[in-house]
Amino acid sequence: MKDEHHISSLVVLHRPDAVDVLTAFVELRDTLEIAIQGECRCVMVCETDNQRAVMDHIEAMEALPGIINVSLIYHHVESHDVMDELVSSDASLQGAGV
Amino acid sequence: MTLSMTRREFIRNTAVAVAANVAGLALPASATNVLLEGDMVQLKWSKAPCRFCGTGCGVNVAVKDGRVVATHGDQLSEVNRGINCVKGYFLSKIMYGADRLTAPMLRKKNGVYAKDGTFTEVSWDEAFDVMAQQFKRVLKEKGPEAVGMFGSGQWTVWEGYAANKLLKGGFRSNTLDPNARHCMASAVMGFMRTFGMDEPMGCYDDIEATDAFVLWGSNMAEMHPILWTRVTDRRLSNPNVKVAVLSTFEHRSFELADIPIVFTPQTDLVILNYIANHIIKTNRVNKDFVDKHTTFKRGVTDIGYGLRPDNPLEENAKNSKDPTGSEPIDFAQFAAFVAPYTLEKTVEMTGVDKGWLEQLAELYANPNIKVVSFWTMGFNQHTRGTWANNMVYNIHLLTGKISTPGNSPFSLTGQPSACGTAREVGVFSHRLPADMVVTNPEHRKHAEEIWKIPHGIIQPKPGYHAVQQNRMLRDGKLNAYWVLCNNNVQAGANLMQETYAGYRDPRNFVVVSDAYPTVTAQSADLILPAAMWVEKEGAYGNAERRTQFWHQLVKAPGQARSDLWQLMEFSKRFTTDECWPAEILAANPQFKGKTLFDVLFKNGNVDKFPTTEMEAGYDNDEAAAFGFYVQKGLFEEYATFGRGHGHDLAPFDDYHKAHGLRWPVVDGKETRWRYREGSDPYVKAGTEFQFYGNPDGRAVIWALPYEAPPEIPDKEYDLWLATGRVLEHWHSGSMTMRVPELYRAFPEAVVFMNPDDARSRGLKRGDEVKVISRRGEMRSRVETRGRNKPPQGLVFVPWFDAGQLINKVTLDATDPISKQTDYKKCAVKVVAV
Repeated sequence: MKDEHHISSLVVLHRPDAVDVLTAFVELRDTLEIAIQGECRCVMVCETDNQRAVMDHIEAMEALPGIINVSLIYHHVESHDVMDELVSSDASLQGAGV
Repeated sequence: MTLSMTRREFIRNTAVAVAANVAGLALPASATNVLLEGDMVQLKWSKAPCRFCGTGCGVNVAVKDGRVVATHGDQLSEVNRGINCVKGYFLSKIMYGADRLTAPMLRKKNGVYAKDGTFTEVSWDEAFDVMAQQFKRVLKEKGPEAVGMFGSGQWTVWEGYAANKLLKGGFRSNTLDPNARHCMASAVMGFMRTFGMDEPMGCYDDIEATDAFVLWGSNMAEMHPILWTRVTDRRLSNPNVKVAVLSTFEHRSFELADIPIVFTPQTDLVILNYIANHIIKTNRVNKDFVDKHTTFKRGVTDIGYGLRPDNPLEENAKNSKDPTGSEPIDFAQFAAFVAPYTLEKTVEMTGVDKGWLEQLAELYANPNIKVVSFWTMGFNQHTRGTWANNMVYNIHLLTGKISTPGNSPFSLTGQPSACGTAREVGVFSHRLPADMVVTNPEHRKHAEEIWKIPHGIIQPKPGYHAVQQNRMLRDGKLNAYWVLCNNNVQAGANLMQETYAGYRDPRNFVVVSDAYPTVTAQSADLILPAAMWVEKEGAYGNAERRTQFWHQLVKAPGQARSDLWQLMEFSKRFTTDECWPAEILAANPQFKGKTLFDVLFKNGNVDKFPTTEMEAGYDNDEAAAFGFYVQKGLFEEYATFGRGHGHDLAPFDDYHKAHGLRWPVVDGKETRWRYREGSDPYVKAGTEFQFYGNPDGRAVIWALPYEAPPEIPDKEYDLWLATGRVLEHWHSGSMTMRVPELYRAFPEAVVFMNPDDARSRGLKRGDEVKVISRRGEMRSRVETRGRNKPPQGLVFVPWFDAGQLINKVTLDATDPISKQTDYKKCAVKVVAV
């Protein structure tokens, strides 16, 4: 697929005092964003144009002091072109939760 | 409610919502309107357990146009709660490697089979014709002892069960062993010697209930990452919880360690006895528990190292011929036995700081601290692995810290069904289902009755175990050999002196069933293409006794067929007259002239359930081929071994509905903690605890010493070598090396080395080196940074890389009791190329 757009979510487990390190790391990168910050865990969203970048981010974060574990939770890839299309549907929590 | 937003926003919201749910974090208002992938692209989602390690994570699998297109962690799975490790995340890609085997390949020359021929595509008929001819030749010339099979802890339950029947009940050979022998045989023998019954008493729920975790040699951060996520969560959310990590080198799990311990190889035995001594000396023995629920035994010592019998280390060992002997002792004798293991002696032998040892011992000794011990290959791949298992139970039993939530000695496993298939089905050269053994006449009789075959068919002598199989291939005593679902040429120790020569010996005919052309497949005479994972209906049993089923979701490519189909179809080519003694057939004439398929699989049990009992909407290629619901028939026959005997499995259909159930399942209820009154239906009222695997209901506390390893570094071979795994690759890498993301993340093995050791050898990071032992050598590159930080005097080399076979170097010494190889200790030197 050309012009891939990858959207992934990650759960990061970290020591409580590692929030600043993690925030600084994320602020330096356009592709990462902390969606929800808890005391010792956070949900992060990663948007990139290739899967390798996601893996590189995980590897780099796991090497940060105080970061214990990074788990890739959700990943979706599609063509970049369709990302701005409007989607309408009934909201549903069915589907992936078998 | 109708929503309208961009596709990007929808996907982002979905991604955040799923992750928030997994992490237990509240969702921000902006992300509450989510649309899941299933709605958007009309995928069909089904559940399956992960194909890799023994954790047993639940995975949701999406199929579109006959192909698996997506997987994600199953939020309804109690094991992983929606999280996958990076291997599990890319799980579906293992089926779509470019070099997938899709047709049988036979070595041929001038149009016929030849040992020195080249691989040529053949039909299944021709493949099985040649294979049957070779197996019949060997049966006739050498008898059943010369026929063998090497199976797998990755087999489905019914594949292992069908193999057990075919070998032990059909060919009358007990030479059937799984690759799980390399993985957890020491754990099995530890359980059997202490509790008289295999597998853990606790479960993963202990993680959220405990106050302390002790990792004995295990690097859970990389090898059991999902359980590590749960451990991490417990530790970070509860500041009072402590984590102790013990290893012979520093690795990723040390990041969470409150008590970090790097010890000299083999001296874990010293630490274990020191802790027992500490508990006794500080008067913290749980006397009531010990008096009511334990007995004491002293095991024989000087038991050798499981090497060939003519090795001086075996000839000089006093008890190498009977390493399992023991005598009963009492508490006072046990206390005297461990008394020499003082703190001072332990510091001296282990190289560990006094303070860390005391803190570790207190986790066990303090009656107010609940403790979970985890271990895998550090204990099991150990020439005294059974002892190490027995000794960790000792310290849990002395303190009564067992079978209650949060108090759990827990043996982790490395393969998805090492427990469910290899152990519970009894796919070992000495075992039968439900912890029974071939050496016991009553057990053989019981198995023959369930299988509906004549008495006397199952042989009383254990067959060749895994390491012995390679030796007997080389010696020309094992001549017809079928390897399924494993990669033992890459895995078995001492490749150069033992394994390879046996595979290529002209006396031997070697068949390998696999999905990819592994080094083992390439060493064979016939390669059979295998279906994998959701290309067949399956069942796995994980490390916490959880049995999990899945449906066939896609078709295998080309001519690839499941191992179950291969085993059953091959059995049609043999008659009882060719395999069973004339006198047994004369006494049981109704079996004469029948095929092995008729007597083993059309026996009224296995063929009992018609295909109409299958759940609609799923393929089942085996049922279609044989005309009955094969998996259900095999499972229900197998389950009769354990029902009413503490191994109760639920009815077949229940597992397709549930997200796994932990046995014993009695009256529809699973068992989370065994051996304790109130949580285990087998424990009698008023007993509190009952270790009912032993006739007296008591667990055994073993007096066992430290004994040195068979090979230690010396002037010439001056470094310890430990081998192991990495997060990104699973075992020999035959699947994960074919996933581009995982391959790129860790493309080739390296020699992890202490920077001072590198410097003193004139080496620097990235230099090409040879790792040399007395047995062979391999080439790799030096790595002085990164995730593993060995102390001076030790190197760590992962074994996933078929291009760098570290098993040319490793020593084939085993635990003499469990016959499991020690891959963690041998002596090597590292030199520049």
